[in-house]
Amino acid sequence: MTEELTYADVYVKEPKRTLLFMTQYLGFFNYGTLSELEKPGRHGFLVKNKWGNNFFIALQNESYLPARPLIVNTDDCLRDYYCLDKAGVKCEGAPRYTSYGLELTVADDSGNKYILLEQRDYSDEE
Amino acid sequence: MKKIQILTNQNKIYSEVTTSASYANECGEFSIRMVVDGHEQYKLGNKKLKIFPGNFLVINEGTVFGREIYSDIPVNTISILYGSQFLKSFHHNATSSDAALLDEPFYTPSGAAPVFLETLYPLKGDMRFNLLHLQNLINDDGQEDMLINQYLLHSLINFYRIYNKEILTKCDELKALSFKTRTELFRRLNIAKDYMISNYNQQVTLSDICGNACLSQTHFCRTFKQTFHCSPYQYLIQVRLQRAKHMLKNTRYEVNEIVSMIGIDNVSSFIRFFKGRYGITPGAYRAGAAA
Repeated sequence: MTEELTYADVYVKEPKRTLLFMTQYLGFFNYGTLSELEKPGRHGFLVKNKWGNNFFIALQNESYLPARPLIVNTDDCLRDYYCLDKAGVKCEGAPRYTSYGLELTVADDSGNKYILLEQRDYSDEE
Repeated sequence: MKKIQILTNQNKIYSEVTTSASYANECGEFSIRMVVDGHEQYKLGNKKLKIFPGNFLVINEGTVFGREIYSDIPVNTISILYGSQFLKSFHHNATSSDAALLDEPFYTPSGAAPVFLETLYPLKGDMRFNLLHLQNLINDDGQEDMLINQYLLHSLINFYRIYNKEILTKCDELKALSFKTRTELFRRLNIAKDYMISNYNQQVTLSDICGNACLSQTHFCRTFKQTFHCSPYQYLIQVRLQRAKHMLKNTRYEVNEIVSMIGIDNVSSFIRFFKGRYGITPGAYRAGAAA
């Protein structure tokens, strides 16, 4: 599936706050800092999701440009919506049905948008 | 094992795993009913229906029905019962214009709950995914009302979409007829469809189907094709192949055993039908599903 993300640079205003957002609300965990991974001069964090198939690097903002929405795979979009709502995170509307599954858009305080996508394989209907 | 969860808004979820059960004269709220494995038999008036994993049944508020499970393997059933007020509010929101909703934001619908055609619906698409999530949540003893209500709400949203596609749109295919005739004919065609789904593994004859639906054979064949875009025979084969596909994916029965269970005469015909419909042999499909 093309939507499955393995690596992306995320430019943010404050990497620590983004790290907190991603670990608290999007199910990622801190995998290490960039300096540990030999990216000298670039402050940020490497995070990955609980299944280990989505990798993000949150970098310090150098020339801030709003990024394109990032696809974050999930196994249950309605559960995530409920948990985010309960935690007070503002979602952009309710979960939406699309031709490739159910998706929900959330944004961090740097303006980066994350599309939580529960991919659904409709081709194997019995 | 039986679990009943009653939510604060009076929506309910019943989940049961059993090999033997019989309930007569049940009557309650509007409900959506499905089975995860095996099958459950329902009796609504004179109509006998069987729910298999690829279908779900809706029963209107106030309908009296009976249901039975007799099986060698445990049958897992899930029923969602919607509180009358919840259903009426949802229906009002789903069927009113934005202007009407803005004009009367605090309107509380009164009167009778909406009535739907009590028939077997295909359990597919988002409805299937949402109900599977709900099943997992029930099995995990999830107790959070608000989360469960999210799934119940979306199950209803999905049901309305299916209803629109399977009932309203298909009923309109009979547009040459008056509304009253069209509705009655469509109801009878659905009785025929339900009979085929419920008895797919029997030697079903056209006269059995027509007798059940109270339609003459020529009238039935013509209007069935007009509505469902296939002949009754093709539809029956389609149901049998769907059941075979489910068994190939979820059981360890040999292909020849499956063939004998779905009412198709011989293995070679089955393989030909299966490949014709899905573009893959049953063996290759099973290997792919297991991978």
